Amino acid sequence: MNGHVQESDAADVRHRLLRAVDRALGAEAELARSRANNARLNSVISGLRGDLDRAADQAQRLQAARDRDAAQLAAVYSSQTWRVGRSIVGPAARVARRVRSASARATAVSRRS
Amino acid sequence: MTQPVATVVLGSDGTDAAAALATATSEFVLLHDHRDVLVPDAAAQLVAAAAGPPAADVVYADGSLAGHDRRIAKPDWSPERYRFEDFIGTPVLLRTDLVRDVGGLHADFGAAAGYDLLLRVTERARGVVHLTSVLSSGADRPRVLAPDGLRRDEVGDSAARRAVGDQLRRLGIDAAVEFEHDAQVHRIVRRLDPGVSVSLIIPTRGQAGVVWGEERVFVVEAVRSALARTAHQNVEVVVVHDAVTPPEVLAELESVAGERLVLVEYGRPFNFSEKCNIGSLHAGGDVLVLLNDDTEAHSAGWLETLVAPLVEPDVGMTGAKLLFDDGTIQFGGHLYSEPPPRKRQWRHHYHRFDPSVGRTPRDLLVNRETSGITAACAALRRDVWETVGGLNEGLPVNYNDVDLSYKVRATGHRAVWLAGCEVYHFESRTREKPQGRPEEIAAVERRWGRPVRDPYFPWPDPQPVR
Repeated sequence: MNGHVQESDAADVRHRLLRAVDRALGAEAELARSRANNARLNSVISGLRGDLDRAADQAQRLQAARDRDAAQLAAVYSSQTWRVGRSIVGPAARVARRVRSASARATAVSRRS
Repeated sequence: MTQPVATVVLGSDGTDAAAALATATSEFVLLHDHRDVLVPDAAAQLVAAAAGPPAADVVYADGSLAGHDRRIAKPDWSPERYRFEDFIGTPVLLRTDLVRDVGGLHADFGAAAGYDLLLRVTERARGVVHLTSVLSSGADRPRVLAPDGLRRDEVGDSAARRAVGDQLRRLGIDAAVEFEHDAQVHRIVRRLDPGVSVSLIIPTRGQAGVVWGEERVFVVEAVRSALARTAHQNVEVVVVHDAVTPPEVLAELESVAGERLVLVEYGRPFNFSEKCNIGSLHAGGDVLVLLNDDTEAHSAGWLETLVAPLVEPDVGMTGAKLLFDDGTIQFGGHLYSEPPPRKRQWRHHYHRFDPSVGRTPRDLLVNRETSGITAACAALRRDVWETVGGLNEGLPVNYNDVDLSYKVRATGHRAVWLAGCEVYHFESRTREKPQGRPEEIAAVERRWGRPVRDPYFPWPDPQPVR
């Protein structure tokens, strides 16, 4: 074949088909990439969700332990044993404090003299 | 209970290994050289990789040289390259059933028995997987073919050549296998069926310039050399020329190509992709060869070399070794990976490398699978071209070939670079050296993302000698 050829209608249709196939393949590639990105993000999100769940569990456990400790403390404070003990130990502790401060004052006076 | 892996050690003689393979009852066999030192969980890692997904029948891994930190990075599975050189070496994990189905190890291949077995197994494998972790250290490069430090031509060259020849016959590929003694690689010379019709598609505006001290009209010399350096007769030349192309250039083209010339006038602003696409609509060939007008075919039989590999159905695209006018490499295959400083993520491998200085890298001596082929000289079967929709006209200047290569590979085809097909490319003599425009880069990245690791060039970029 020799000489110039013109772009015929048939060639124009085939040209448009070529472009359409290119665009379809490109769109497919973009979709596949988006899906892969989504899958990756989902996996990151599910990892973070797991971390969050674990942290919430831990917080719950700590809160429960704290509540238990507080209840135990309250029980101790309100018990008869504790009250009886306080009534004995309280005055004795006050006496001991006074003795300690009096002896400190005496030591200070003797150093000055 | 069946053991998952039986280990078969290859020595210089295939006889014992053949017997061991024949009696293996395990799901997999692990072939390794008697000098390999494997990491403790090598077999487990290989078996895990074989389990997939996707499931594979052959698994190999990177290695290192004994006593060195140097990694021997291997390319991902490359059937064409494997015919030229055994880049897999050992250790390699094979599914026992498949080994048995292909007839086991043929001890008469001697030192090349492992290579022959892998050629047969990989032809039928559901998958061949490359693990990028280092699982062994050995005394040498991959070397199923050359045990005990002997040069391959001293021990098993003829057997290895026979193994490759047998494979080509099994696959219906009409070719001869030669052996390059200096480089220690095979060379395959395929014969092109004279019935295959080829259309060269050359976009041009008929520019002139000086090459090797002489003025030339580029497109005329491109066509003249293309036709002069091929014996293939079934060729037409489709020249898509701008309206401004001087009439005397068109007249000279007619005198060079005669009845084989098809002229297509192009009257729109420059769009390389559109010009090639329009050219393809007026081309009648089974195979389309995109060729820049600033080229000159160099090697005799360049067209046969370029087109013949396309007879393999999964080879979708082939490309040539392109040379600058000073003989340095213009194109040694595309490389797509995270870029080193001041380079693009999609680049020409061995760009500006001077093969005449020092030892030529094996990459430039063997045919091999590559991430992409430049559109300056690329051959595609028409069915593949139509399946991928030709070139993306949204990329009028740059990276349209990168996009095309991605499309070809995305449709399950290999892109193969051919060491024996040499073409000069006087790049940027007919237009300014194109700079990648941000919108073109963004368009390619939107489709294909940013590459991280090139599957076929896992080693660093070589430095240009000049």
